[in-house]
Amino acid sequence: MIKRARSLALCGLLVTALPAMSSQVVIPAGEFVSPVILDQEISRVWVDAFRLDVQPVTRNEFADFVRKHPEWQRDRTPRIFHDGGYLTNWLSAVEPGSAETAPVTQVSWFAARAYCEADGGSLPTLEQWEYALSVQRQQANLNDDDYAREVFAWYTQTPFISRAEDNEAMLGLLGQVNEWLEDYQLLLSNGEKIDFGGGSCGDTARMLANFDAAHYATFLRYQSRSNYTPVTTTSTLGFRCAYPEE
Amino acid sequence: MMKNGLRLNHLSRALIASFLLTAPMALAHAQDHSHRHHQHGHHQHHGEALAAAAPLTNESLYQTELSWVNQHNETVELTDLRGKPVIVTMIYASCNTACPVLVQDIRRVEQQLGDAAANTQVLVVSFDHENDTPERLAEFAEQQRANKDGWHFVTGSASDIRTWAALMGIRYRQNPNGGYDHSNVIGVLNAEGELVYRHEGLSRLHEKVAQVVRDL
Amino acid sequence: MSKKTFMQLSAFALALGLTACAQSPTLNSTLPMKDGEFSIDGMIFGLAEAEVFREQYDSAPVIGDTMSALPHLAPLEYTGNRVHEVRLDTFAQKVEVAPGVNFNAWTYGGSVPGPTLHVREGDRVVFTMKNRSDEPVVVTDPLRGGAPYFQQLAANPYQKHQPAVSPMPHSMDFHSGTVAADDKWRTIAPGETIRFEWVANYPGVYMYHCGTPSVLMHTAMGQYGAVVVSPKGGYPTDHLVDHEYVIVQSEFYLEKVGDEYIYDHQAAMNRNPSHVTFNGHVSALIDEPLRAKAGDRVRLYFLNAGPSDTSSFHVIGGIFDRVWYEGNVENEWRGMQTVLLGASNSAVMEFIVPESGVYKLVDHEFADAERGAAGALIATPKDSN
Repeated sequence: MIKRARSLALCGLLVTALPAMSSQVVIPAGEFVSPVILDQEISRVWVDAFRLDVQPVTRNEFADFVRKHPEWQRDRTPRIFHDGGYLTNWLSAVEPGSAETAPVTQVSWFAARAYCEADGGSLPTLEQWEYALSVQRQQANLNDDDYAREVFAWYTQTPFISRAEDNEAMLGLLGQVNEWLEDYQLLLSNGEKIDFGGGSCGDTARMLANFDAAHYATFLRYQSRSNYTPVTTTSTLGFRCAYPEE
Repeated sequence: MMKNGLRLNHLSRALIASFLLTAPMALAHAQDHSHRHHQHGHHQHHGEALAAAAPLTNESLYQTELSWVNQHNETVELTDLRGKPVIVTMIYASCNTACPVLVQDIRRVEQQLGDAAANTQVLVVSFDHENDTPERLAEFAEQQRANKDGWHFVTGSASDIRTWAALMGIRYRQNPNGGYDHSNVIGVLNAEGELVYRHEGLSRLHEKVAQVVRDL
Repeated sequence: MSKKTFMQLSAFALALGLTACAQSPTLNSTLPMKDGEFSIDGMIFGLAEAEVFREQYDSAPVIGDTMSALPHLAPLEYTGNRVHEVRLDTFAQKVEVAPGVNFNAWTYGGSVPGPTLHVREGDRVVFTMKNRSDEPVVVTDPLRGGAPYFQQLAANPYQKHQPAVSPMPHSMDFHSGTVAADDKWRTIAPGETIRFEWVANYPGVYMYHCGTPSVLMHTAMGQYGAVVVSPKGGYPTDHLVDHEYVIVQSEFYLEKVGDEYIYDHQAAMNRNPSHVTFNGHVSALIDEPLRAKAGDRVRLYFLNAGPSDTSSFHVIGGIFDRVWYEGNVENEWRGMQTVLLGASNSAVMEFIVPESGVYKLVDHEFADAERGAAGALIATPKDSN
């Protein structure tokens, strides 16, 4: 709790804090240059302002959700919505049992989406999430090489201390859990064969906006996320919600 | 400018929230009903209403209770399709490459099936929730000579479309030209709405699909 | 009978004899084809689609009686062809590649390189792999039903294996298989299991590796190993060979951050490895050298796994009597001092140990030898035990 309050205060210096909605920040509108080329050319899109959870949804918060929505308790949720591992790391159907303030994991895309919908939000889109990270990287002064190290270290689950000047401004977008997004699946083509990650074997030159370690690290996130199926539940896959900024 | 696909409609969000949350409830109710059946209690009337629909199986995609609008501007609930096999695919109307191939493939499946085709339904879900109005879908269906009984060319909310695509294992995204890149999939649902066959690619396997439908 | 006629007859007899020899042990025992498969030149193609499914599985992550730890090669104790039920799970493991240098590797079976599979040309492999990258898997405490690999690993655990967790989608690409990669080599998420078959249509020493993008990182992180497909008719020197060993060369690209080592992408792109190893550790073949006696014929099954560098393999004090490039008997070279292999190239090399002593094995690209691509063979006198 203390950590969260502090992060909000620091974020408040950089992005607009919302006193009434203490667990969210406003990501200001801006241009997003996609680090990954998905359509043969570098895309620059304008992203409208939106609100984003400051932290990934915690185990406790998800417990509140399943208490209110029993149909999303692990013993009631139909198998078309998960792969069998849904919340199996919990003590019971409604109790995490430990690490209550840690990000919830072992939730499928369907379950994560239901949580955000029930909360009046949605899963962030790929562009929203990656744009938020780019904004945070700038604000935290995280240089490209250190950013790449942070991503690689996290993907190999190696203990790592971020070199961001303002760690808290990172909102835990890196280094906690891989996060579900509304449209996380990529489509990469090979001639008339259109498919997902199989469209690449690591021939990233045609897909990186800039050929450096930072972009490669980002691509690793795009493609590994894309290889999950919507029913996947794993111990490092969680989520946070986005909300429209009125 | 931000892509349109990212601007999510509040109403459709509310809709998907309600279906996602009520779907498993429907299952729970149905189970309650079977319990009540032995008690012959005073819920008899309610029980009869539920008896019309036996519990959906755990693998049934109809548990999502998605709701569509077809090319005749009629509401199509997924559960309306229950009882007959359904051949499914996803397309968008302004697509002139893969999508017509998918639709023609399903027409060939029907030809293979002969009289048995009357007992089969077709659900063609559009990716393009912005442009594919019922009228536009009717036009597309005419062009494809597939605007006939048992064929539903449907649209829905962006969120519902994404849910359906996820259940079908179909990937798609809007490209900068306003069209959609998508995986080409033909699937078969059995009478209970379980996905029993799924083929990816434009391999013209209509004989195989027909065999799957015949075997149901 | 003129000398010329005699020569012709001898040549004829020799040809007959050779033909008979090549056909003798195995041609009658070719495995049957399954439904939907087809055959060209005696090879089998058109195998069934891969299955991806979920299973509760916490048993041995490596199964198969011909799955061994480096530098061992499992003997083929059967004639003709057979079906191999092979399991090789993929999961993270903290491994040491140089003294004090360990990292959370992505592995097959818990070691880098992974276990070596030995089959015979014409054999069928029914392969199962679970992506267990989201659970800690112990490999130093052999489970019942596991491959001989575990006993060999326990006898010489030079990588100091410790379980690690690093959830990541992975796949398996066997260079020894001839299939559609988008089917059999498809990527599976943590918790998923894939099963598919391949037939060893061609003999040789092959690489297997993770084909999930980005392949550079997945291979640099440790996901590769060797498959040895012995020729149906064997190598012509089979009856002369005294020792067989498997060596896999590969590079690591690690940088120290704090107290830990992580993958260094810039170094990988610059082909500037921190370590180049034989069998996954700079000391693997120094602390436990290969062994032979003077006069022995030693056969090495050598794979350069890369991911990006060449290998110029040389034995100091030896000359390769025979070399079969890629391990195919049709590709024979004689009297080689050094064998140049690109990434994922291989060779079967034999040399005669001239006298007792120490024979260093090196990548003669000495910048690589200095980074660790060195080992040794220790030879005892000819009449020693």
